Amino acid sequence: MHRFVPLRGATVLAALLAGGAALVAASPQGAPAPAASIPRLLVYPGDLTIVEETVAVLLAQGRSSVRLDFVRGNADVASLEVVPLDRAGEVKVVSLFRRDDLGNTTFVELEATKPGPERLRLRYAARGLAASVAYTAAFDAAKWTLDLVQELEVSNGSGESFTQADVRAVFGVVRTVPSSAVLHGRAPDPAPDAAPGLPTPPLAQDLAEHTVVPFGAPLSLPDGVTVRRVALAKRELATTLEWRFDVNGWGGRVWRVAKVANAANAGLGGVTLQPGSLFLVEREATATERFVRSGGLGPLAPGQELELDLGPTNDFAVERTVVDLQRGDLVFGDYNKALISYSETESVKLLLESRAADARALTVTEHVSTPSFELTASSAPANRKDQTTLEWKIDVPAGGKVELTYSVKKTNLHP
Amino acid sequence: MNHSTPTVIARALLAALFSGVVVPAALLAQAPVRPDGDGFVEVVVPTAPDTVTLRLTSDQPASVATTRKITLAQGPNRLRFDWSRERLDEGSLRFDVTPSSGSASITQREKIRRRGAMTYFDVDAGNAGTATLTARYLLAGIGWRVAYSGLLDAAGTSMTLVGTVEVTNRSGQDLDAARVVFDGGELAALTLAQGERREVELFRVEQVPVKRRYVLDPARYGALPAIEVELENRAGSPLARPFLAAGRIRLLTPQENGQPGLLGEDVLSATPLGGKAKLYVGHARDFVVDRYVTFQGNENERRDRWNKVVAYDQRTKLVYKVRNGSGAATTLVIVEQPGAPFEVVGASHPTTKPAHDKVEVEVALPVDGSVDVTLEWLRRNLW
Repeated sequence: MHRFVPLRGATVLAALLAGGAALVAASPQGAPAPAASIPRLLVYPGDLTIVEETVAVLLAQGRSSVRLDFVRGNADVASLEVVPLDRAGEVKVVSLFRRDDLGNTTFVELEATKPGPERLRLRYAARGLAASVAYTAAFDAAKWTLDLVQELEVSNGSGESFTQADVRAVFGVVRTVPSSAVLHGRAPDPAPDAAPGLPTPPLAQDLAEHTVVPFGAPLSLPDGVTVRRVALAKRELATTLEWRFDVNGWGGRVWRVAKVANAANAGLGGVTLQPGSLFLVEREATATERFVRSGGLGPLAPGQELELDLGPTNDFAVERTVVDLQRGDLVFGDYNKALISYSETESVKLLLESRAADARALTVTEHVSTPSFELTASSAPANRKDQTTLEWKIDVPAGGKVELTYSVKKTNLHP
Repeated sequence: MNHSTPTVIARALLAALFSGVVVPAALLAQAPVRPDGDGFVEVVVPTAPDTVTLRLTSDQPASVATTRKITLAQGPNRLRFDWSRERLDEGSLRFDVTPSSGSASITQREKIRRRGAMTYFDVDAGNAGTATLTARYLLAGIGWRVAYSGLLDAAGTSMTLVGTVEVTNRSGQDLDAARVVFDGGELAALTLAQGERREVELFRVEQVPVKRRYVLDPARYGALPAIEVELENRAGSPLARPFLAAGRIRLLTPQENGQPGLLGEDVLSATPLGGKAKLYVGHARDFVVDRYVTFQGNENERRDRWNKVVAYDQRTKLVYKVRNGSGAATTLVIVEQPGAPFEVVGASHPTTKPAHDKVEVEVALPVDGSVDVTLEWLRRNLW
């Protein structure tokens, strides 16, 4: 039979600072109260936060019961783990005990061979906290450099206020199994007014490596508050620019792509970037910032080049014309004389006009409507990127014009 | 820290700000908000900015940069930025603090849900003193458009081009001497209250060369010859603007009484330096063109086992009778779009094939004369 140790005010406390659980424990009279620590919040994607807090209790010899009241917030008590930290071998958790009529209250039954202080690490899942990263990228058009700032934002909508918390955000695909799942056995029949508990998260295959972004110094995180801090700031990163044309992209205009290295000794320095929202601006000669676009960024692995689409430019103009199209090689069936196949020869002219003050290379991408084609003529060497895509890199002199012409013969077409 | 209990001083300052009283920044600086004695000093950011710069683009909300003078205490300061009366995009808010001496850094930002359109951010200042706070954000409700007016000379070879910009303010925020930068121009100091619109002349350029031509393109302009005016924004020419934003252009031409009359309107597409804009301003009534399809028939039919046509060629012949009543020798361009594939097999005048489905015939017209034009094409392997 378990013994509830008499309550003492000084030890009731800790927990409540920590947020999730109200602890009611007891200690022998006169013993010093051990210290608790601030809670640690590991905020995962998909509305899952692992709250880890350390509470201090004074235990009598023999069996004690520590009462944890999860009275506020969105804690999943079924996920609770309790680990004694200080006296391994002397203190052990015998069981976690709950009663239907007490809701989320959990009694931690402990067995101590000697009386004394002990710290217990509580770990449980909660929901209502969310973390995200946001990027602000500023491209300097005059210097060809990029400033990239990553901010980590944590929102507390859990219903619980954390006076101080050590917050880390975990990014990646995290596989979870609902703590209420009965994997082998039989689930109890649901009570008429059973608490819904955490919604069952979908099982996801763990394919992505997790990355953890620490929030820095402990922060105050009251309920209903969103806090944002700079997690990474890289200034004046050397950027290479590419100019691209694809008739299907950016309304048939030439656009720029900024590339930044992400190696240990170059560019971003070999960092991992978590996926997040992007706010991209361009610093102009008029000392203004032009908003280019919003959108998403990442994930980016160390060694992987950062590529940012900077939108269309007026430095180049491309006039694309299909100058000729002819059909031929009609094949008719031997028996029914029906038209079986034919070929089509298409000739295209692209007039590339530079309005820039320096020579630039333009990457031209063209898509052919069928995989069965051959390039019969081209004014510049072409690279067949895949079955239906051709690519050219054309050097265009400053303020000059270059004509790119090519012909493709599409074969084995069917009417 | 308890965010729900601002101090009496902070409340008083807030009330003063909302009631329109301008409180010097230095007076706003001392309202401790952290009861646990961490030493935060709350600095209320003045609602009226010292400078405002708007960068307008055609496809995004206005990008706004505002600066305000504030006074910082040494150490941690908590700044409060209130945007309850502006339609700004909260996700786009960014702040920079530049102290007049020493250094300062923004350590974190907080948003308290129940306080609505307000953001707190913490600044760690190395020295006490004044600083410039720059807030950048996207602001909805600012509209702008450009319009052009071109007065052609009597010969129709050059014109006086005037560009204007109209800015509309429905942002919820009054603009006072704001610098407005947009694609192709800038207004140094624009004052525009919420709900107001202002149109300003941007430039006036004389002697802008234009090319005028007459085009008969039945697929595009119908049965009458159209007037096309070509404008080049070329370096070294009188125009030579870095960028002409897209806008309506109204072309005027001198009438017999010397007063300008409307020739027509069109949309001038966005034209960077080095680009050309082609304008269609209406139809020419002093040309008469009769267009006749004299022959259209199939040939070289290939049939299947059941005598059904599975492929054929199609030949088309056209005749045009053109009369010039303009009083001057000129050129008419006839544009036909047979569709692809096709090839020209005969024509009375020189032809060009600008695209795989289009043919152009250039016809020189004598003064008050008539010309007959023939054109024949063949489309092979149709089905």
